[in-house]
Amino acid sequence: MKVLRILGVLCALHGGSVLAAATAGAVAPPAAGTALIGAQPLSLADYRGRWVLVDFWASWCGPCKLSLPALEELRQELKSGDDAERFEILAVNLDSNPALGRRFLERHPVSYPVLSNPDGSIAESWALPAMPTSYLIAPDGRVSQVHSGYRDGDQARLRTLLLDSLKDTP
Amino acid sequence: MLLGSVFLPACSTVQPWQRGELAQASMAWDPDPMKAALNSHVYDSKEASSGRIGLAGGGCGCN
Repeated sequence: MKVLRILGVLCALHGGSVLAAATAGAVAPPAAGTALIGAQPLSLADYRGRWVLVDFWASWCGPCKLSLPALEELRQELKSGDDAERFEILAVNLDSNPALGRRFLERHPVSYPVLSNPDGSIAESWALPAMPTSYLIAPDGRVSQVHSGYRDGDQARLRTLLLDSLKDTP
Repeated sequence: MLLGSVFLPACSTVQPWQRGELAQASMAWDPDPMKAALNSHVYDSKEASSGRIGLAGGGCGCN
């Protein structure tokens, strides 16, 4: 009995969180909260039926200085075409101090909705592999593609991926 | 118990979204590099030593 109790204590001390990663093909975990600017409620579920690029970022993340303007440019292009209503970007800001995220957006403004997640709970449930990471969510709510990091040429790759995805679905 | 405590992890993995905390000034070895350089210079001067960190000094505290 004593041995079991000791084992229990050891298991409890070792027990980390088991992360169910948002991998390609899996149903995307929920992502809901309040907007970084304006504090209105935002949820990934509100975009069901559309292709959604969920982009995780933070003000301290160097590559995010490149990825946010690139995604904004991509959105402007797609929103001005025939696929305007079939696509959206939902960003999730992971700054523990949301004011830093807001300051970042003053320098790099975006027109898409940005969700604030200061405690990182959404990132944890999605088992984020790196910063930044973008998930392309299909209209049925499943993860279609996962894109980690941001390098030269990624804007063109994401553009091709999005256009191909939109073309393949009616 | 003693054996178990030896194998208990004393640290945890910092997740990608938590790395911003490591970038804060308070997490740096020398939060204020200018103050650290001045302290080092004063130390070198008082100890009449040189070359401990950075360029050599004369030991008089004047350079």
